[in-house]
Amino acid sequence: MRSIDTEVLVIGSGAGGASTAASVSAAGRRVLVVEEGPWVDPDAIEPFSLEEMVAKYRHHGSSAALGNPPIAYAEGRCVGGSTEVNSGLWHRLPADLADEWRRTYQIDSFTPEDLDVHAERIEVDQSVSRVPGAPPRSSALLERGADELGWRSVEFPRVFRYDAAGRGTKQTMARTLIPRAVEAGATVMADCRVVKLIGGRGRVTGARCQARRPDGTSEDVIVRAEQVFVCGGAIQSPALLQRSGIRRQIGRGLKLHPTIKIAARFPEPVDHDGVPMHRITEFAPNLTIGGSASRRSHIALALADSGAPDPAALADWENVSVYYAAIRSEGSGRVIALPGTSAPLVTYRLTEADVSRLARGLVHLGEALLAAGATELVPSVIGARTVRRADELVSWWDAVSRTQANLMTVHLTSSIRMGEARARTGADSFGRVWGYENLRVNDASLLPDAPGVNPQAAIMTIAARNAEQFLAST
Amino acid sequence: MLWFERHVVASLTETSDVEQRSAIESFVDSTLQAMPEHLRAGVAAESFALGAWAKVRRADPAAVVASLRRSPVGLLRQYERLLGSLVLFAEHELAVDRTT
Repeated sequence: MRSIDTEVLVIGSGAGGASTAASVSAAGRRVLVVEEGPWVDPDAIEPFSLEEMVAKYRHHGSSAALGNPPIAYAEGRCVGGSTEVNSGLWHRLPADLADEWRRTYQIDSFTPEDLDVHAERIEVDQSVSRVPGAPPRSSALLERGADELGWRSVEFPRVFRYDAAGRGTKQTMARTLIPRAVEAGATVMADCRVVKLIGGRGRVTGARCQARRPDGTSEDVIVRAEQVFVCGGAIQSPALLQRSGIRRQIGRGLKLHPTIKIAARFPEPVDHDGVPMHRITEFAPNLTIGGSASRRSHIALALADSGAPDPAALADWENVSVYYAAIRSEGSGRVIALPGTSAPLVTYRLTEADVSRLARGLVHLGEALLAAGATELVPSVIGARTVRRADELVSWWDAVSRTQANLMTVHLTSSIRMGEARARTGADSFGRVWGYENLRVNDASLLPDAPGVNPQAAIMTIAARNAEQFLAST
Repeated sequence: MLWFERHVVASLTETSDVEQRSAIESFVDSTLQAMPEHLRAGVAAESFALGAWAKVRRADPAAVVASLRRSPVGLLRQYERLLGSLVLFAEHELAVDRTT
């Protein structure tokens, strides 16, 4: 069995892991990043394509949180994690949420001002910016719908760098912080799964891993480390801790943004290359309206989610785009590592208020799209009628139910909450796992609740803050 | 992929292009293999049960698939939705690949 020694082991290379590795290696610490997925050239694969699903998504994107209803979810599984497959939208953690979390979970040094110092630095570093010139039509339609109804909408900045011709490149972790960590001396082991952490008596000594060789065979590897950061995301991090015998407040309180969709047909063609950057924020943070990836395949899926797809509906697919309403949910879920399996069981319980909020979201989304000029709306609800006029939207209130709604999410958080309120948290204010002196979590798991928006900004901000505290204290 | 799943995928695939049908089946097969183990076990159990039922009743798998779509039982609708979504996504993505 191969053995590797390092000072700091970072498990996972997404928004949390890459931020940690870049900060800690820049300070001169010897860092090893272990990533379960492959290292994929960010330019090699078309975004949102089948090839991307196979190469960069865990389980090819086919995971679900069990419950009534089940909620499909997707996670990245490659160097760079979910930053390689998301839309790159950037939204700082709202100040009122930071204040609420600080009070409820007794998080030290967690004022909006504490966080903004890091957020501002990251925004400059990662080229967070708005699209130069006019937004694409799919995005402008959301703005138009909101304007017609007198609702607030915002063009969100993204982690995109634009060249002189206005061409944007998403600044994923595989393009930015991972190469920077490597330049500073870090080593990245891709295709290497951490099976469990090793150690005991309040201290971990490393991890037992399985590395996949290029020929498809695997070898066992022991990594010995003085400090360990677990950054596998809100599903994989608690699963790894549980497999390692660490269970107190681990994997409970999982939060996600349940999302319901509409395929909207317009009189003219809509762009299909990216994801709209406008969001309707009139009902935020509890309800956000935005746009999804809308390749022909996504439109076909959205139309099929109505339960009775009309083959003719795809004839002018260029005029169709997919939009969504996402809610902050009152419900919560669990991540449970199952003996003998590599994937954990994930459950999620929606409350009645959540179902009602989803119905409200679907109706508001329909109102906005009709106001924007849509001529036909097909919701992702089995048996719900196709709507062409605003007075028909009322039928959706009753149509959205646990048995008929097809829900999905890409934002998962809060499975190892941070804070000094020990009865409700799995880690302290800076991500150190309770009861362990050298084991930290630094990813979406730490967010005490779902933020209501794309969580990448919150994850990177908190990860940078925690890494700074780690460097100051060790 | 199990016997009944292969029939379901075949009946849901619209293209008659042999190469494309094979690519779609291959994608669905690899995705089923990549699923979380507990979800795959659930899907396999449904496939066994539905396959046995179809054989006993001598029912055409395509007709069984059509009935699943309209079933009042959520689990059965989810089964058809899962396989149907995989086929639909692959069929359209592979069509894009051929035109670019």
